[in-house]
Amino acid sequence: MARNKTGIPELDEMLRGGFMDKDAVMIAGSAGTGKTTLALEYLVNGATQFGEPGIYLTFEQLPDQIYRDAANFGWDLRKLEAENKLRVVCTSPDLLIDPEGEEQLLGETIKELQPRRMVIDSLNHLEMYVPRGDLRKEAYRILMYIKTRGISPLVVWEAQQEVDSSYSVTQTGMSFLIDCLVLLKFVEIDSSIKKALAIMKMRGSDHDKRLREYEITSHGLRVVAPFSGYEGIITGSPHRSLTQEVAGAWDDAFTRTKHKQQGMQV
Amino acid sequence: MISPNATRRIGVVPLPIFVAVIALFDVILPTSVAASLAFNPLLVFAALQTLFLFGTAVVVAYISLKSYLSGGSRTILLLGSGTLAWGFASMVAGWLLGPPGGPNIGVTISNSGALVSSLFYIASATTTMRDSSSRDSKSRKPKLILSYGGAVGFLAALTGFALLGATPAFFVPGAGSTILRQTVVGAGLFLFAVSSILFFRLYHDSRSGILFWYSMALALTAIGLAAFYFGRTVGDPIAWTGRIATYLGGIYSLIAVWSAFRGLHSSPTGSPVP
Repeated sequence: MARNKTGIPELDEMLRGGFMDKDAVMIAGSAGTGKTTLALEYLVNGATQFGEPGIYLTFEQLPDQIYRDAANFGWDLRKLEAENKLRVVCTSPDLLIDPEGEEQLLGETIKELQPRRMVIDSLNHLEMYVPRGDLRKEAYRILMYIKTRGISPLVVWEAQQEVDSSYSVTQTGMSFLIDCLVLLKFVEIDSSIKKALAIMKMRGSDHDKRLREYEITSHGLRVVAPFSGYEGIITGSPHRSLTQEVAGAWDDAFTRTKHKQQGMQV
Repeated sequence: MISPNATRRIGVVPLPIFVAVIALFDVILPTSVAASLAFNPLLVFAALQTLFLFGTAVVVAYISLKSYLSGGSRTILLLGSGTLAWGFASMVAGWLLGPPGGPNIGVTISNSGALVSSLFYIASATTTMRDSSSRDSKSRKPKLILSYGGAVGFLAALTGFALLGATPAFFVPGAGSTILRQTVVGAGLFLFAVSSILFFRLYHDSRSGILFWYSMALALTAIGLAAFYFGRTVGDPIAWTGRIATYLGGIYSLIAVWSAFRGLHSSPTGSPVP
């Protein structure tokens, strides 16, 4: 089965090799979780490592901003565009909603670039132009437009993180359109804010069910260890399991004392 | 409610009592009398070894495993491995003390296990003197498997060799302990005692109940080994005093785990940690 690697080794491992080819992927999370970074990294790695050109369609930022932010991660989007490996398209959602406008906007680029990947950042912007009841229909039409052209779509969705830190990605009714859902969220653990990534759904494939911590580094997104020993992270009230608490106290007794002594010696 | 200090003072009491009883038996019991008093109910002994030494070791090894995987402290890894080695050897020795191989097989495994375990403990206790945490979380699982598996694997192999008669004699019925046994038990006893002192020194700085009870558990095990060192024959009163000391050591190690649990639920104004 063909897979679209993200180029982030740990995430590809979680996805058992990458996203399934032509699957509609959604990256959901609240503001600041790194959705755009992950989406851009997926495109850049696709173009540079796997020979898969991509289109980044955004309603959110101006091109200069995107090039600048990408450069901070070491991604030269202008160069990739010059090499015909990537296109950055900044537009208004109403153009995408109109089928003719959509063809006008993307048809030529698709013909010219022969992309294999496409990111839409973000689907939420359609809400401004489409009645809520029609949002799913529009999203479906756009996703089908992309898929039928042999492109794997990845959409960004800004999901509201509630006061209790819980999420309801499915409340918009979009989940049935999506084959793979990657959730990014903030969690408070040991009085510090950490970022957690989970693959909530992946149609037709096994995937890592664990919640993993990730970081936004100067080279992009880096997935680190699973939050092992914690319970209730998804529901927003993370706490360590009793065994883990006892193990932590055990570790503290034998090691913190040592560190304290060393600190005193210094 | 008894204060933690009072509980700990009570916890120290058995140590001098065991030492005194062993010394007394050593003085008053001639070898022939000790041999006539030997008592070896094999099933009871096996059950006691399994329950008090293997069972408690599994609990401590499991907590150490979880602790090592999340914190990466080599002190904890070595401590867990030592505990597992001691528990495993004691259990196997318990079930193999009787025929067909006679007491030599059980004694060989038990005493060798004590030495292997004491090596882990002394390594653990000495790593408390320097920073020994592994930051590479990916390598923790393989290291854990290597350390725990190595300890148990070595003792399992030793058991196999002992059953095949391929190990040197530790105990000769009628003649008693060999020099090899005396050396192995003596070394184990020394290392257990030093480890206990090193952990107790750590307790002295932190006043952690976990460290207190764990260092006492090691001290009791050292006393138990001393009894095996001075014992005339398998199952004589000195040996039983030593066995009871090691069983109490097992209980103390559980109290150390209990202290960790209690510590989570006590606040500065809450119930005290034992």
